[in-house]
Amino acid sequence: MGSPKHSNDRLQGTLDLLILKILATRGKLHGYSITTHIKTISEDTLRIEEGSLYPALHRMMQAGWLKAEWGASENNRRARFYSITAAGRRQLTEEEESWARLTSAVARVITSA
Amino acid sequence: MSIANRLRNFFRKPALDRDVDDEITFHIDTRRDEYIAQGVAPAEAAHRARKDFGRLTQIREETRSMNLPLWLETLAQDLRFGARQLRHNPTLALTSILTLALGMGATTAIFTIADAVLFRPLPYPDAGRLVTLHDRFPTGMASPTIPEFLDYQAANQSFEQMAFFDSRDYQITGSDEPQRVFSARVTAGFFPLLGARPALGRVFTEAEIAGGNSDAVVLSHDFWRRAFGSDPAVIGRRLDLNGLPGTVIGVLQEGFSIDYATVSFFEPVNLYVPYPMTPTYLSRSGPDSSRRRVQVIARLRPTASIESASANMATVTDRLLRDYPQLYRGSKGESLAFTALVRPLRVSLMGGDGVIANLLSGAVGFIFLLACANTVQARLAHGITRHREFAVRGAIGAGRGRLIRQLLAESLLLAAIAAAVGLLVAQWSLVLILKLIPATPYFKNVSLDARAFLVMGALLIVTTVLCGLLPAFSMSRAASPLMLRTSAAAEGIRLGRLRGLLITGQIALALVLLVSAGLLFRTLVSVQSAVGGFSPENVLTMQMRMRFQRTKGLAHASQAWQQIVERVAQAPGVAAAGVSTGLPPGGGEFPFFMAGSGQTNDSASRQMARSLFVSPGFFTALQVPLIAGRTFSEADTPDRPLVAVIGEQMARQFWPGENPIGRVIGTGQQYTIVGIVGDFRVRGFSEVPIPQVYLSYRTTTEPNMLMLVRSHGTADIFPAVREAVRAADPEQPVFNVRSMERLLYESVAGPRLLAVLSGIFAVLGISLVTTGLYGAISYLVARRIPEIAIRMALGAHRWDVLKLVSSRLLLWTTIGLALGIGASIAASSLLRDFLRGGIQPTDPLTFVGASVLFLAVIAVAAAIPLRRALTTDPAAALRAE
Repeated sequence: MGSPKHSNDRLQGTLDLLILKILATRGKLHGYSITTHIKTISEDTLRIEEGSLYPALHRMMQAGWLKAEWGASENNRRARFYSITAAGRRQLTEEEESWARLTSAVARVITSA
Repeated sequence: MSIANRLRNFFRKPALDRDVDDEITFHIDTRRDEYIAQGVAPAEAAHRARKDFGRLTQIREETRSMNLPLWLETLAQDLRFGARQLRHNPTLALTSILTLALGMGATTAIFTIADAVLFRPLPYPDAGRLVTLHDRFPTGMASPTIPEFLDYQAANQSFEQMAFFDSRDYQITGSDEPQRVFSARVTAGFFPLLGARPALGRVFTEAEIAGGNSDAVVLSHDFWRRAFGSDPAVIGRRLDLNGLPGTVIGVLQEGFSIDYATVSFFEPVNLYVPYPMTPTYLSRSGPDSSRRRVQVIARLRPTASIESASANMATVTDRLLRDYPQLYRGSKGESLAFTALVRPLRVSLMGGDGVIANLLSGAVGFIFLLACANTVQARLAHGITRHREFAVRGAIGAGRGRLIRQLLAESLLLAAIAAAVGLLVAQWSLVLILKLIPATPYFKNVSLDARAFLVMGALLIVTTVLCGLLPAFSMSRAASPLMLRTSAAAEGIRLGRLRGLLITGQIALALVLLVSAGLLFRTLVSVQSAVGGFSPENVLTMQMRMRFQRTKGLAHASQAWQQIVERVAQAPGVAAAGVSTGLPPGGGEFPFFMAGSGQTNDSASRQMARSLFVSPGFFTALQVPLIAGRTFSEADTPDRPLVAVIGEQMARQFWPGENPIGRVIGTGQQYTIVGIVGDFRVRGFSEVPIPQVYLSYRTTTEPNMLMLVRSHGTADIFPAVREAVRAADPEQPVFNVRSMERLLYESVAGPRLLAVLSGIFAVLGISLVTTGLYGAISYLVARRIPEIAIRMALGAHRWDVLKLVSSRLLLWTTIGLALGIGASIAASSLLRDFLRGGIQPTDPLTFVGASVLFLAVIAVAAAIPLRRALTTDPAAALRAE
């Protein structure tokens, strides 16, 4: 559909949620360390294709949720660092709520079925 | 912000692509280094890092595309989807495209014409500063006299240059065939003022004009090509102009002309001569002093304005009124206060064309709106079938804005195709219109130029918005999740109101077009049907201008005409021939004052008759019946007692119930009435019958005559006539040869053109309304078929069904007609100046006729769908549901 909302696309929505959450708590990160964080936090459960992170980052940046700047990485290479914007934080709240609604609904279905 | 971002990115794409590459490389390299740190061999580490990253090329492209204008992508997507929608319903798409193309094309064509009349710069350098100068009397505008012009010029502080001119017929003799050439007499300022340069030789000098006796002649480029075969050695060539010598001193640049009938150039000007500043023309007294024969043009100084120039010139009129009070008196001796009027040259040149251009633009605007309304109707009807599609898309997360964008994209696609087809329509219409209208110079180079494309572009946007936004807002409401539950029928009822509004407006607009066309057609019919009292068949007409021989006196002119008429009357195939100074009413007649005739009557208008000078053969050539007495004979020479023949109206008006024969009329010369002829008219412009006096052609020095030749049959008698004229006077040119029927046809060219153009608009308008109505009612009926079926199954009478479906139609029609009649009354008052033959702007017959015709059209459009409603088979309809 091309619109930045993608609220009907759960998987993509999940990735957005993860990225927003990580950037909200950890501050400025480059793409590689975001991947590492997702892996570490989820204890390797969420195995995503590492590359698929980048279209998502750029899309979210165009949506105004993230901003990016070039800087030096830990090994002193030129890397792009992302951080969350105010709009991103609002989006995060929204995504978290909708995520909670979904999981509780699914949980209800599973326990009552 | 985001859109601006993406747009910016669009222009720095290469840099952006490098950024994405760098970012990805950094990621893969870091991962590889990680593996190496864990002890993996470098080659294996690089391999694993790339594998972890995934489909590199695809991800790189995807990431890059995220930074490009999203709406471009969306638009392309919407357009693709729109195209699919149009293909889905080709009939709807085709009708919409054709309707819109018609509306947009006609509008572009008319705007191109109107642009040429109203806005495009006149073909003279810095034309915005060109003005005309007039005297404004309480009774109306007039041209200044030549002495007045000289006073204006002496007081001038506002104009760079001033000039005057008039038109004149000349005969060039001395070559094989005597030729009549339409010419202009101009002052020295004329050419530089209009920026006309000579292609060969030179133009007039101040000295040549001031001398008053120059024989210099400047040829128009066209005439030079036609009559002299573009001979470069033409400079210095001697010509014989009206028996006087002339010398060609120059040829004008190609394309220069100011041949507008509004400045008395009724035909293309072939040659220019210096205005003869003779004492006759310069005198404030004498027979010619009050003749307002010339047109005055001037070029404003860059610092001057129309207002400041008017004020400047007004000082002159004040002084003239003070210094020459006896010159400015009305018929009752009252002082005629007048003032100077300066106005743009364009206003003077376009005359009534400006009003017509505006009216046509208005009419075509109506057509365009009707076309848009039809398309909106069709899309609304179609939209109801898409109701569910929108409800579903809304339910799965498409926002309302998104759906509106989608619908706008569809209407953009529709409008864009229509615009492309519309350009063809515009081209064809333009060619057609240019054929219909008179070839005035400002139409010379009219074509679909950049401005026409601009107009089409604007129409494209207006169409997209009009045909997209209304249905879009209305249909996108379906995107509300609630709407998923409501039925299409309920949605249809809500839209019904909008459709009703559209139809009402359409009926009103189309009625205005119909009433306007009706009034102009009634004018044409009235003007044509007033023609009569003579027989125009087998009559050939032609114009002749006696060579300039006033100095030779009346006797000479009278004899010359007599010889020509006699020769022509004896030519083979000729039944009768006569000459006349004009044709009644309103063509070349002279006022004839009745006071002093022994009749005492106070009413000034009744004192006046109109006179024509005719030869004996005139009445026989036209077969005008003789009522009493006799017509002229060749014995009625100027040295015999003067006689007059009068028309029936004259007899009725001045001598009711008496025998006018033998009575003496006339204020100066006294004429004895010898006969009464039937009234006849070749034009029907004036409503009131005019008393007509005929006097013998042998008593006038008027050099312009119309010859009328009746033939026995259909064979072309012109060669024989030409030969007879040549035999009588080898140097007498004959021009404007036309059949009487042709002359009559051309005399109503103006009213006919308006009637035809307005008729085209009315027909277009009615067809649009008819198709719109047909669609709307068909839809209304189709939607209610289940309801009708239930009602009929429950025992409703057919009459009830008819009432059910036609009640809304009746409502729309009534409101539409009422609005239309109101708007027509307003619109028809704008047409007042174009209505002739006694037709009033509120002509009841036209209004009633148009309304009845409209009702009939609506009835026809409604008949088929209503029939369908009445013949509904309840069982079948209910099963289908």
